[in-house]
Amino acid sequence: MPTNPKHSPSSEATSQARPMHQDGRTAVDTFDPEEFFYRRYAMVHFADGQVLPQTISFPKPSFNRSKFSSPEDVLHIDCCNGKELPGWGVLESRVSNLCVSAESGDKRKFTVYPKHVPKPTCYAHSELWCASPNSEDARPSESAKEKLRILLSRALKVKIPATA
Amino acid sequence: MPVIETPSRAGLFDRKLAIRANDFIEPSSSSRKILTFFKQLIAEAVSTSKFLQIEKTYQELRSSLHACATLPDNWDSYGAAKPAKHSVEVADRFLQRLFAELFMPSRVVPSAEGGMALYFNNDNKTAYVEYRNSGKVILAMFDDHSDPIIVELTESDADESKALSFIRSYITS
Repeated sequence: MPTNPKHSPSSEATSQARPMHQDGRTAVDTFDPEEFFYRRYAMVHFADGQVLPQTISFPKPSFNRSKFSSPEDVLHIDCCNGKELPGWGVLESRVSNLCVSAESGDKRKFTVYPKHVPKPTCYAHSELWCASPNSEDARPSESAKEKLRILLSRALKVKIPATA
Repeated sequence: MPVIETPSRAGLFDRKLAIRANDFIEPSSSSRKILTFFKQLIAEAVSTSKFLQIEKTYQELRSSLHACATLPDNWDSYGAAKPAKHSVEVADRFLQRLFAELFMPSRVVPSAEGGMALYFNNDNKTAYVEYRNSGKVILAMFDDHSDPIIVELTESDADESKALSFIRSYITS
């Protein structure tokens, strides 16, 4: 299985000009806690050295996983549904730092976990799903969702600075 | 106004010194009036300047808000809805209220959830009010370490006042 050598030393090295396509591969459900997630962003969502929670939306915010991509891939048109985004930057976080939890007002606990959801032209595409004690695909309450957005934005750091 | 006679050349130096020394020891009533006048003038100028700064910020934020209103769907490339006209209008109404209170946010930001957020910062404290396209209003207050405080509000005038009170108290405490 070809992977991105940068964050996965044991993997097979590849030098790709474009993001890895799915090409019939299935999802890989395991995540190394040291693996990185990447997400693109525009300057409007970065202020005073902080990533703003308004860059995150629920349900299932999208990322690229580092096992199968480089940070730049998240800006490639193959991973942006054909959209070119000049001047956009890339945020990153270790997967383990993104597995945050929040309680709703009625004490229900919602925990975020990573899920590999490949796309035909962007094999690395992944999402953050939300689990509750009753469901692996739970919809967090408004207050829990807002806490999760804040915690996730705290975990994200700038990998490639945006200029637009 | 103090009147200073044109002295003869003789004794000019001594007279000047005498006038200055006298001013330091015991200012005349006219000197006091001048001093008070200038103090008031300076105070007014400072106050006017602060107001002008706030007004400038207000105009800039309104421009940002109206620019966000022109965003297309999928503006964040992850499928976010454009800010609805209604979200922009209620955010604008709150902005006008804040201007009337001379308590301005630091920025206006479109939300990937669909809607607009108004941000307040002071040192490491952050607060925002997010007006969602769904009609929901979320107030969030947090710093770098503690658990975020989230309050669900409505678009009513009463909740607008509540949001203002919460934010002012949190940010300035």
